[in-house]
Amino acid sequence: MSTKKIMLKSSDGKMFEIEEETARQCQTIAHMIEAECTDNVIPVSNVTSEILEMVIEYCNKHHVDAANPCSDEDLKKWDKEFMEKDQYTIFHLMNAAYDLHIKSLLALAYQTVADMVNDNKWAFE
Amino acid sequence: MSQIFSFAGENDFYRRGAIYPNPKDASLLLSLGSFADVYFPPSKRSRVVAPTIFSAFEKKPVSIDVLPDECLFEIFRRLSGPQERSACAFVSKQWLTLVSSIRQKEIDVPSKITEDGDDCEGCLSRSLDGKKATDVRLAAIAVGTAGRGGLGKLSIRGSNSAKVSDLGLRSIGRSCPSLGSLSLWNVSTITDNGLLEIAEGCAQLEKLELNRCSTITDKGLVAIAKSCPNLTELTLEACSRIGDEGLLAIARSCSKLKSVSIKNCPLVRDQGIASLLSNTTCSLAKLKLQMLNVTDVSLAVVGHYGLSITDLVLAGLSHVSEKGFWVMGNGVGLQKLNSLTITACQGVTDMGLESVGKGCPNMKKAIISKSPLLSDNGLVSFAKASLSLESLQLEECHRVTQFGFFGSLLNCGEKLKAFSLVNCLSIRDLTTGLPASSHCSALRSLSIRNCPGFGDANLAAIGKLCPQLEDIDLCGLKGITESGFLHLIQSSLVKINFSGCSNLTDRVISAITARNGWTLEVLNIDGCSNITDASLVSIAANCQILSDLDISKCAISDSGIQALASSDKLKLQILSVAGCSMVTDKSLPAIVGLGSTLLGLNLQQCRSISNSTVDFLVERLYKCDILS
Repeated sequence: MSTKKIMLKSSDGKMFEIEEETARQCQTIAHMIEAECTDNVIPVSNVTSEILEMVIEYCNKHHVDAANPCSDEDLKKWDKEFMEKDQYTIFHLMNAAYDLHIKSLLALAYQTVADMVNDNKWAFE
Repeated sequence: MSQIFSFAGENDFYRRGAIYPNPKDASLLLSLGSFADVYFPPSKRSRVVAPTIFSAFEKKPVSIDVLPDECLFEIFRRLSGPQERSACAFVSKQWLTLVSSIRQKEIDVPSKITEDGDDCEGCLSRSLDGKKATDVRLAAIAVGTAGRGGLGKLSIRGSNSAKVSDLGLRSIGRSCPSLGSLSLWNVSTITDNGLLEIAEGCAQLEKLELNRCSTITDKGLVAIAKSCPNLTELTLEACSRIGDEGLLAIARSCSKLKSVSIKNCPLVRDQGIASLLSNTTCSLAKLKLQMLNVTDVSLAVVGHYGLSITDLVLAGLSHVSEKGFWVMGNGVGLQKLNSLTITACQGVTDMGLESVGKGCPNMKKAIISKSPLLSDNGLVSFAKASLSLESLQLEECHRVTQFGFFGSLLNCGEKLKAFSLVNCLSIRDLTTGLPASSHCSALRSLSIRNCPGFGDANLAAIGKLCPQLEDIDLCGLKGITESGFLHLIQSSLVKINFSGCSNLTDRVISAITARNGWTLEVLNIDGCSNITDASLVSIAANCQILSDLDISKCAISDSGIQALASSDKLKLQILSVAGCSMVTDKSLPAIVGLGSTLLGLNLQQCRSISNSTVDFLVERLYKCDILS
C-alpha cells in the first residue's frame, strides 16, 4: 500500500520528497496538513537544502513503524553519531528543529550543545 | 528569526515568544559590571568571550544570540553544574537573566558536589544597600552563589532610587533553594509576586524581615506561610498593607515560630495577635508588639496563652488600658517570662504593673519607660512581687520619686544585681535616713543618668545600702558635690562613669583610684572640667588594670599625658582625649609610648594637635583605630 508523499522546498530551491506520516513529526507541517493549506509543495524558506536534508534523514530514522523497526538503544546510538557535526551545523539544525517544531530533535540539539559546553568543546569565538 | 513558512493562514498554533511573559522583563535588568557575583572556574574563563559562531563554509559569523530565549534556556538547564551556568551567565545580561530564571527542579542533571563539600549548604551571606540593590546584582548573586554552597542569608536595604523589583527576587527564588534568611528594607518596588517567588523556591526559609515594604500585602505573607513551614522568626515593621489575614496564615502553618516582632502595622489587630498565640502548637519565645492598634484583648491573650514566652516587648500600645495589663498579669500564662520591656503604654499604672509582677514569677529583667502614670506605690509593689528580678530599669517615669527608688531597692529581694534610673525628673535628695539594718547586698551595677534632683544624700545612702557595687554610672548628675562622690569609695569598683558631673574634683579621683586601683578597669570622666593633670598622676600611680580611660573635655595638658605614659603598670587599650585643647604636639612621644597596647585613640577636637602629628600616629600605631 503506497503512502501519501509531500514535497518540501528548501530556501535555495531544492525539492525533497517525504512521506506525510514521517513529516508529521514536524508539528508545524502536521498543522498545515490538517488545515489543508498545502499544495503538495511546502516551502521551508529559512532552511537550506543541506540542513533540510539532515532534518529529513532524522525524521525518517525516527519514524518507527512495522516497516521500520528500531530499538531504543540503536536509536540512541544513531542519534549520537548523527549529532557528531560542527557547531555551525548543530546551530542551524537547532534553528530548523525550532521552527519546524520537532520536539525530539530540539531536545537532542539542546543536550548536544550543553554537553559541548560542559566539555569545553563549544567555541564562542 | 522570521517566519520560515511563506503561506497565508492560521499561524497561531505555535507562538514564539520570549521566555518571559512580559517582554519588558529582561530590559529591567541594568548593565552587568565587575560587581557580578558569578563564579568562574579557571578553565572556563577563556572560552566565555564573545557569543558568536563562525562557520567553516560561510564567512558571515552567526550570533548564538539569535537563538530564541527558549532554546538558550533549554541549553542552560541541561548544563552539568552550577559553575558552567555561572560561566554562561557572565556572557551577557540576557544570558544572566535566562540562567537566573531556571528553577532548581528544572535543572536536567544532578548538580555536582561543590568544592567545599555539602557542609556549606546555605552558608553564604549577601547584603545589598541603596543604589547597589538592583535586579542584575540579585541575578548575579543567585547564579554565583549556587555553585559555592548556596545562598543562606540575603539582606536588601533599598532607597527611593532602588532599582530592585520582583524580577530580582524571582532570580533568588529560582536559584537559591537553601535561602534561610531574607530581609527587605524600604523596597516599595517589590510586591507580593516577589514574595510568591521566594515562597515557591525557598521552602527552607527560617527568618523573614519586612521593613517599610508598603506594596507587600497579606497575600505575600500567606504564600510564605503555606510554603515555608520552617519559619522561626518573623519581623514586620511599617508594612501598611499587612494585617490579620497574613498573621492567621502564619499561625496555622508555621508551628516552629519562635520570634515575632510587629511594629507600626496599622492593619494588625487583636485577631492577628490572638491567632499567633492561641495556636495549640505555639512555641513562641519572643514577642514584640510596638505601635499597634491592639486593645486589652491582645494582652489578655498574651497573659493566658503565652506559655513559652521568655522575652516580651510592649511599646506604644495606645489603645491598651490598665485593665489589659491587669488581665495579662492574672492570666498566669507568663510563667517562663524572663525579660519584660514596656514603653509608652498609658495602661501601665500602679495596679497594672503590680499585677504583671505577680503574674511573672520568673522574670529576671524589667525595663519600664515613658510611663507617666506609674508612681512610687506601683514601683515598690512591683519590686515586692517580682521575686526573681535581677535587673530593673526605669526611664522617663516622672511620677517616681526618691522614695520609690529606695523603696524598690529595699524590696527587690536578694537577687537584684542591676538598677538603672534614667531621666526621672521627680527624683530629689533624701531628707530622711534609711533604716539602719537595711542593705541591698546583691546589687553590683547602679546607673543614675540625667536625674537632676539626685544629690549627695542619695549617694551617701547608696554607699551604705549597696556595699558590693562594682559598676557605677552617674552620668550628667550636676547636683552631686565632692562629698557625695566620696561616699562611694569604699566599694571595689570596676567600671565608673562620671561623665558630665561638673562638680567632680581631682580629690575624688585620687581617693577612688587609691582605693580601687586593683579593680578599676573603666573610667569615664568626660566633660568634668575641674579634672586636671593631678588626676592623671593618681591614675598612673594607682591603677593596675585600667584598660579604658575617657578624659575628654577635661582640663588636662601634655604633662598629664606624660604622667600616664611614664607608668609601667598602666596598659591602656582605649584612650579618649577629645576636646582637650591644652594637649599639644608635645604629647606625641607620650602617646607613642602608650601605643604598644592602645587599640583605640580619640583625638577629635584637639585643636592644638596638628594634622602631621595625627598622620604620624596613624602610621606608627598601626593596630590602633584613631579618631581625629
